[in-house]
Amino acid sequence: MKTGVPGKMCDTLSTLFDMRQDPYSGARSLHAAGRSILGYSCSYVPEELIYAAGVVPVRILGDNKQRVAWGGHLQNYCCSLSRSTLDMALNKEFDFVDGFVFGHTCDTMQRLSDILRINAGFEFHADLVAPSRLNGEAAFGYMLEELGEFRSKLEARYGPISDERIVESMAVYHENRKLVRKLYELKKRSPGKITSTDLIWAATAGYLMDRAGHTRLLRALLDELESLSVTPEPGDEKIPLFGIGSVMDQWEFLDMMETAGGTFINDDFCNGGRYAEDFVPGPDEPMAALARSLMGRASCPCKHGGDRSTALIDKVKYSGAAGVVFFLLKYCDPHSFEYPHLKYLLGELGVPSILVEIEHGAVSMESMRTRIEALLETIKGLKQAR
Amino acid sequence: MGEEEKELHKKILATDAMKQLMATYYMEAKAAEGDDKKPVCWITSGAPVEFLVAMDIIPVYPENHGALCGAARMAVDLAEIAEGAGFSRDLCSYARLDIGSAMSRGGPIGGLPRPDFLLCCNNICGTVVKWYEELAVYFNVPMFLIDTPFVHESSRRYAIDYVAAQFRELIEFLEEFTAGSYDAERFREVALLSKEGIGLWSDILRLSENRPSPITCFDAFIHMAPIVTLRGTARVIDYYRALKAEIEQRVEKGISAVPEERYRLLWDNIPIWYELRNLGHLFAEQGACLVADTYTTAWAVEIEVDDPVNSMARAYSSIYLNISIDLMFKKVKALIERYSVDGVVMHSNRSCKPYSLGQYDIARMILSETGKPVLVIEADMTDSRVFSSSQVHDRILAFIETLHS
Repeated sequence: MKTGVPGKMCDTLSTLFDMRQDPYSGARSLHAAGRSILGYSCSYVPEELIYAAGVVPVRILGDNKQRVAWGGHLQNYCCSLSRSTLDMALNKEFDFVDGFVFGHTCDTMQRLSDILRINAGFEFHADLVAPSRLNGEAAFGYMLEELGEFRSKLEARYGPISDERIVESMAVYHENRKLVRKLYELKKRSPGKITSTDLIWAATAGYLMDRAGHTRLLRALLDELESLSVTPEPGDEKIPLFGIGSVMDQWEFLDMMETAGGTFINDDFCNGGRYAEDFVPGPDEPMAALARSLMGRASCPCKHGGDRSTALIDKVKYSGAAGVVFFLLKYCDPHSFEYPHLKYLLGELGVPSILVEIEHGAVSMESMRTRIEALLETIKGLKQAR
Repeated sequence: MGEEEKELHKKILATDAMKQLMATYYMEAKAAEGDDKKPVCWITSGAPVEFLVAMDIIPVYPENHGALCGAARMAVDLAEIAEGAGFSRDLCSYARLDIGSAMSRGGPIGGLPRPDFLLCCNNICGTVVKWYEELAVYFNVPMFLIDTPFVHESSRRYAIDYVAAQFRELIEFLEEFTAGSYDAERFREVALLSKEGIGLWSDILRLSENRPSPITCFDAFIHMAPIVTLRGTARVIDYYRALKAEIEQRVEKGISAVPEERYRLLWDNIPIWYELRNLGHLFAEQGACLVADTYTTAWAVEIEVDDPVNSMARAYSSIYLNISIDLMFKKVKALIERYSVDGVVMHSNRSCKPYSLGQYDIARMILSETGKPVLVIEADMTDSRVFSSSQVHDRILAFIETLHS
C-alpha cells in the first residue's frame, strides 16, 4: 500500500477526516442530545473537572474564514487565534455552549477572557487563574485553592461533583492521553502508516467530542493501523521533522508539507505531542492529584519553572527528526520570545530549522511551501555532505 | 503671550534636581558592576523593590532605561540589534531594545550594569516573564519570579497568601547574594520610606485636580522616574518634598501648565516616549491639558507599615494592569470624576497587550457611563517605526475640535 494519503489509510481515519470538515459538528450533536458543553482555550483548563461535572469541555481552535467582528474589540496586534475565537463568539457560532472557561496563559488570552465575558453574552463564564510558576509548594497550594473555587462555580451551575466522579474522569483523560501517546509511538516506529495531518487531527478530535468516545475511536484506529502492512516504495520515504508551536490547526499546511516530502515525527503543539505527554501523579486526594497533573505536564511557554528549553531539545533529539519547523502564530509573544534561543540550541546540535509564521484567515500556502522546501533541501544537502 | 510667560508655564524648576538624582543613581549603579559587595539586580517596574533596598542590593530597571532610550530616540537602533538576533519585531519594544542594549552596551548611558540576578514580577504583564527568562539565559544568572495571580473579579485571600509566601522565598533567595541577612526592622523602615515617597507622589499628582492644572501628565511622566527607581530611599522623599512645594506654589500663584486651559483630558497607557515633547506642544497649543493618566498612578500602592509583607502582597497584586477590564474601568471612571476630565486619549500601544487589549471596550464604557468622548491613537512606546506622526496629530486636532462643539 502506498504511504501517506491523509484520511485514506483506514476506515477510522476516513471517519476522522469527515469530522474535520466541520469540527464542531460533534459538539452540536451532543448539545442537541441534551449534553451541556463548555468552550475553552489553552492547556491549563482542567478538562477532567468539567467532565466530572457531566459537561463536555470543547476546545476552541482557530478558524480560517475572513473575519471582521473582532475589530471593534481587539487591536490587530494580537494573535489570530484570539481574534477568530472572539469573532465566532460574537457571531453566535458557539450556540452549542453554555459558556467559556479560561485557564490563564498569555496576556492576550487574559484580556480575551474579559472581552468575551462582557460582549458574547454567555450564561456561564469562569477564569481559573492557574499559577504562572509551576514549581514550589506555594504555587501548588494556590492551584489547589483555585481549582476548589472553580469546582464550586461548576457545582453552582451543574450540581454537586463527587470525588469519585473526579477520579473516574481523570482516569478517562489519562487513558485517552496514553492512547494519543501510543499513536505518536506508532508514528515514530512506522512513519508511513499515518501522516502528520491525520496524527495531529486524531489527537485534536478528542477536544471536540465526548472524551470516552474519542478513546474508543483511538483504540479502533490503533488496531487498524497496527494491522496495516505498509512498505514504502523507493523514494517515498519522508524526511522526519519536529514541529514547535502553540496550536496546530492548519491541516492544509500539514498536507502541503507531506506532499513536499516532510512529515512531523513528533511535535510540541499544545493540541498534539505536548498534550500527549501528560503527567500522572502518584496516589493522592483527587483535587491534589488534579493540581499536580496540571502543573507537572509539559509546559506551555507561558509558564515558568521547568526547564522547558532543555526538555524540548531533548525531545527533538530523541525523536530522530532531521529538522525543526517553528510554526508560530504571529503576535504570539511567549513562543516568539523563546524562538532565538531554541534556534541557537538546535544549531549547536546541527539540526536545521525554519520559522513559519501564520495568521488565521490570511494563510499564504505558497510562501509556506517555499520555506518548507528550503528546509527539506537543506536537510538533503546535509545528508549528502555527511 | 510673551516668550517669558510661556517659559513660566513650562519650566518646573525641580527638573534639574531630578536629572541630577537620576544621573547619580545610574552612575552608582554602573560603578557597582563587578563589585562583589554591591550586588546588582535587574527588576521589573511593578516588583516589590523594598526587599532589595532593605538588603542593600542595587535595583536597575530595564523599563526605565527603555523610556530613557525611547526619549533619546535611540530605541530603534537597539531594537534592531535584538531583531537581528531573531527576536520578532512584534515583541515588546522595551524588551527588544533592552536585549539589544545588553548585547551591544549601547544607548544614552552606554548600557546597564551587568546583573548578578533578576527579579521579575508578572503583575504588569506575562511578557516580562519571557523577557527575563531570556536575560537569565543571556547573562547566565538566576531569576526569581513573583507570580501575582490576575484579578478577574476580586482578590482572593489565598492568592494574597501565595504572593506573601513568595515574598518569604524571595528573602531567602536574596540572602544568597548579600553578606548580611534580612532584618525585619530594616525592612519596616524601608516600607515606611516607600509609603512616604508614594504618599508625596500621590499628593503631587492630585494637585492636578486644581483648575487650571499646575502640571500635565507629560510632566508626571518625567518626574515619575524617582518613584519607580528609588522607591524606599530617603533621597526620593527629599526630592518629592521639593517638587511638591514647587507645584503647590504654582497652584497658589495660579500658574497653569498649559497657557490657557480650556480642556482637561486623561491619558491612558505608557507614554510615547520619542514623541513626548511634540505631543506636549500640540496639546498645549490647543489649550488642552492632560491633567491625569492611568500610568503614573500605578505606583501609588498602599502599604501598611504594621504588616508590610501582607499588605504589599495585596497592593502589588491589584495594580492597574493586573485587574480585569471592568475593574480598570472603575478606576478610570474615578480618575475622570476626580480630575473633572472632558475627554480621554488612549494610546493603543503595540508593545503592551495587557494595557491595550480591552481599550475599545473601556472606551465604550466611558462613553456610555460618563458621556466623555474617547480618542484612540495607534503607536508604540519606543518603536517610532510604527508611528505616523501626521496622522496622529490630525486625529488629535480633530478630537479637540469635537470637544469644542
